[in-house]
Amino acid sequence: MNDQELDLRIRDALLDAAAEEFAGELRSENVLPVSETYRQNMRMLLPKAHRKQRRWQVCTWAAVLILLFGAVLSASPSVRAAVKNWFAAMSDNGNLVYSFAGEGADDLPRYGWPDLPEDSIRSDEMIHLGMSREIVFCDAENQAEMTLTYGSMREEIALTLNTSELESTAVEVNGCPGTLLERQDGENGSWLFWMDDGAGIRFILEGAVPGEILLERAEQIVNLET
Amino acid sequence: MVERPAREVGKLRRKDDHSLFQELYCRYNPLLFRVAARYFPDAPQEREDAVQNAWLKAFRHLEKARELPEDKVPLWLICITKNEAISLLRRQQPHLPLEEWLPATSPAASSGSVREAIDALPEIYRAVLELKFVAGYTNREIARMLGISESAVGTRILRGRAILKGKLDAEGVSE
Repeated sequence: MNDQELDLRIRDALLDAAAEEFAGELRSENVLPVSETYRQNMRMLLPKAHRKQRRWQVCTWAAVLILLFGAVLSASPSVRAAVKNWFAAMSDNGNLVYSFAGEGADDLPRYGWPDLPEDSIRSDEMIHLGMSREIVFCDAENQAEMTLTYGSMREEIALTLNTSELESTAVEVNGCPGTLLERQDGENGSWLFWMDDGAGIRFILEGAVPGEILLERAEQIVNLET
Repeated sequence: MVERPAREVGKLRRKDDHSLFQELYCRYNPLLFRVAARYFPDAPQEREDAVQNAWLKAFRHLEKARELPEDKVPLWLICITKNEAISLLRRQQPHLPLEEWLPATSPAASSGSVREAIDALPEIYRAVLELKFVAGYTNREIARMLGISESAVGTRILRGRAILKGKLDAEGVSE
């Protein structure tokens, strides 16, 4: 028996043990009452809520990437020559989204909050073909889901933001220049973009919270590898 | 033994993560509450906390649900819930040893040398093996959950496996 086979036998035996240990619970059809708070919390985890949040985010990124690519293409002949490293896709909302298809960002440093409870992280994955890292988490203090996205800055990349229907404010995040965009329709919803020139990293933090909360959370982000 | 026939659970494999999670939640949420009730019979708030934490962990380790034989998926969820409940109990009364939180385990009703060897395994090893090989947690997650260091987790996994392998070797099962 090799190690892998042993591990599988251990797993199956542990599962069999659980089946015997909880045979009563498995057979029972008793449904215990749950509170409205529990239902609300679980709704945040279930697909409907998640898809809604993702659509919001995809729209934001679609706008950023279109403008970003447009700026790059018009400014740099060398980038135009390298256009084969990009591909275009039509998103659900009809926006044309360009994505970078060159080398990934495997060496991207890990940024985040040192005190963020592991249980609060909904997902932590590389996105945009490995160009960026996205961390979705529940901010317990503010009872809101937030998303941090960051990636390497490339010298040929320019960033232009469409700020229509949003209030735009120039801000600083730990000394780095940034822009805070806040919804003006009475709903909570903010995006905070900033760039750390020294580290060569661009960040976006977004969430259904007032901008000042995003700013406060952004200033707590550190490189977890240093 | 399980709440749905395996052929129905088989549909889970074709679902994307969020659809799969919703399916599991709809099917097994009552089961997880019954499991948590064993540890918190008179504490509905703690019961909900344990089950909610279990769903969060299950969501983060959904790839494990796809790896498992289909009829084992509810057992995987049970193991996660059980360990979340024990973890919650331990946080409430950290001075008590791990064994104090475990329900009395009956001797193996089924035959099988691995199962019998696992029943004879000291609980400090069994808990770590369960979290590692069944729940699919990382050593870091296990360390946080049990309040021990990552190196201690690694050591317990190695020793637990070695104990089991030794017993199987002695019985000529692992040949």
